[in-house]
Amino acid sequence: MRYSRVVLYLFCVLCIAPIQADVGRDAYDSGDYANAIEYYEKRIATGEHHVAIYFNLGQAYSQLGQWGNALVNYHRAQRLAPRDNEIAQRIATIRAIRPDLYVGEQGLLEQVASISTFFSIAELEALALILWSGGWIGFIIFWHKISWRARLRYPFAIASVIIGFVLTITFCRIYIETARPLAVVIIPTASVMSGAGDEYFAMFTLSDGAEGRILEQHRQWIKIELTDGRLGWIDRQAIVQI
Amino acid sequence: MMYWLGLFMIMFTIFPQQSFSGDDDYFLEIFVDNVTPFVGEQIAYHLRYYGETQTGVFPQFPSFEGFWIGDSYEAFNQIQIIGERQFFVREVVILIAPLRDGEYTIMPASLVVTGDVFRSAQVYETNPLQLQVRPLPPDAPTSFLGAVGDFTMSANFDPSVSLTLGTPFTFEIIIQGTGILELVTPPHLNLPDSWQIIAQPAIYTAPSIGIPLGSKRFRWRIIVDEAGRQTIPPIIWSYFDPYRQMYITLDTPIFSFNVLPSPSNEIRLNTTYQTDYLRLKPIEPASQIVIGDWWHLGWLIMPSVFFLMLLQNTLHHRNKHKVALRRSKTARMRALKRLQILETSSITPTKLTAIFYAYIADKLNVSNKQVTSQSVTTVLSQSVHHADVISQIQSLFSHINSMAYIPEGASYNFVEVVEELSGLLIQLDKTWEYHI
Repeated sequence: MRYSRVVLYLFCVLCIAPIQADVGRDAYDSGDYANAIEYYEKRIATGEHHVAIYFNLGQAYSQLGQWGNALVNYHRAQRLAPRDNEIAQRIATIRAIRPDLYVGEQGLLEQVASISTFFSIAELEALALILWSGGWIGFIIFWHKISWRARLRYPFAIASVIIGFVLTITFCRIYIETARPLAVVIIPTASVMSGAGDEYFAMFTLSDGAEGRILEQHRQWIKIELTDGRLGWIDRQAIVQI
Repeated sequence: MMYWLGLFMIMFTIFPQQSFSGDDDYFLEIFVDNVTPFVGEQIAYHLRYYGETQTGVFPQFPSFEGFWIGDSYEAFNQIQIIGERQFFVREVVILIAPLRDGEYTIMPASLVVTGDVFRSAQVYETNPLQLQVRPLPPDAPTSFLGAVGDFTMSANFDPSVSLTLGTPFTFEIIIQGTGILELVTPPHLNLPDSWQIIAQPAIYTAPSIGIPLGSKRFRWRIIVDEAGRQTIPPIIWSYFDPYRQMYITLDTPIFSFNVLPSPSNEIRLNTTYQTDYLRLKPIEPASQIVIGDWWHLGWLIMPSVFFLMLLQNTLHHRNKHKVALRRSKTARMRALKRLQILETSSITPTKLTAIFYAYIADKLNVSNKQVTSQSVTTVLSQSVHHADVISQIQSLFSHINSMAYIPEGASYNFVEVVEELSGLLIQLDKTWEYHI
């Protein structure tokens, strides 16, 4: 009885999964991008974090010219598949066609973190973890086997430098992604104020698809830093965190 | 060319009446480098003031109504001796440009000196400045967009060799020179209408120390709609040179590049996106392995292993040390007991030496036979690093050995020697270093 339930469940999963995938694609292919978006958003809301779902959602938003929302989803897809050229190309295209000029990250931490964009955070962390564990094993051998120390000195020094480098990059990447997460403007134009409130003066405006890093939050206002160094407060409704 | 340092320098110096007597503490002067500029021509408005102090002195510029106000900078800030008096001299320059032709009046500048306990606040004011702004000559070329000054133009193209259809590239025009660059508008790009051309915000770099010329960069992101050999024709742009009083036309070279077909082998790109261009990815069920966050504990595994090994090692050493201490104590107690039970009459150097050797043997947990004078010397040199203790032992045993040669019938105070040996054993225990 119990096995039959499991078999039935697996059968349902195997049957439903391809059917679900077709619903979004069908809507998209028929030009019903709003429905495709709704469908993919629902799947994400149920906890499915799949490269293709984010990418397809980005494609659907692109078809509607909503560059900000499209960019958000391409970025999320890229986090899961950092070596996917198609995603990178779509991000580059949107950065080119949006009104705000794209300027590369200027901060030191951001630049150090950008060295590792070939890897996703999970891959980078796994690599760092392997090297970290290997480093500790080497250190234990170095500490325990006194007779091997002379032989191990130089390999251990080189390995320490490599491990230190990878750990630094990993730390910068995780810090940047968690403490200063990327955010994208998703409304046609958003005013950036000099302080956290409507009573402050508007310093400049950002357009749909503009990117910045979130520094802090105060009620409904978020302090962002643009890649060209400009700082300001923006309404939280106007942006979406990656 | 610093033409604005130019032709007609005129100085309007306005001093209060008493300043000529040399008694006044503050002076203010203003001048421009050209009183008959052309419309849009950059002129430098200099405000220089002399003061006995630098603090509490605030120059105030006029409003420059009818002028474009550009960059400002400090020309100098130094100390000068004038008429045997020391003055702090500071000159600030503002670059301005008249926006229409005709007669202009620049309102007076002023210098506010705040008061203190010795004097009241004072305001020094200059006279207004009169300028006669000339109109630009009428024969302007079609590529003239209002820039007045002395400029150069260059273009950058990225990538310079080839690109894939649908990939945007950046085309950049840099205009550099003297003149109000903030008023310079981008040149017209004579590109096919079917190309997507997205103008980016211009980047203005003001002149500064070491960089006498300002620059303005205009950027466009361009997406070409067709694969094959493509060309960007020369960009033509004109400006009016007020020094030569003529229009100058500049152009860029022709840029040629190859556009490769898109990854889907398209040779023509529709400006409206199509499903083929924005194709979807297949969603493969269960292709993602969700591990969760528990594996972050992996960061702690190897350090934990190391610290456990370190702990185990420390405990092991501590245990061995305890055992050695206990053995040492037992050896000392046993040696002291042996010394105590020695009858005064039966004390001989041989017995004393044997007791000491037995003490060393007990301490090292070896049999008495293994302990020789040679091994005792070695052990002492390795384990006791207090030279005075070693020398005391050596002198005591040379003393003990010498007892073997005392003449028959002579008496000797053995009790004192035993007490000294007992004391030495206690001292030896205190200074003994255990190699575990």
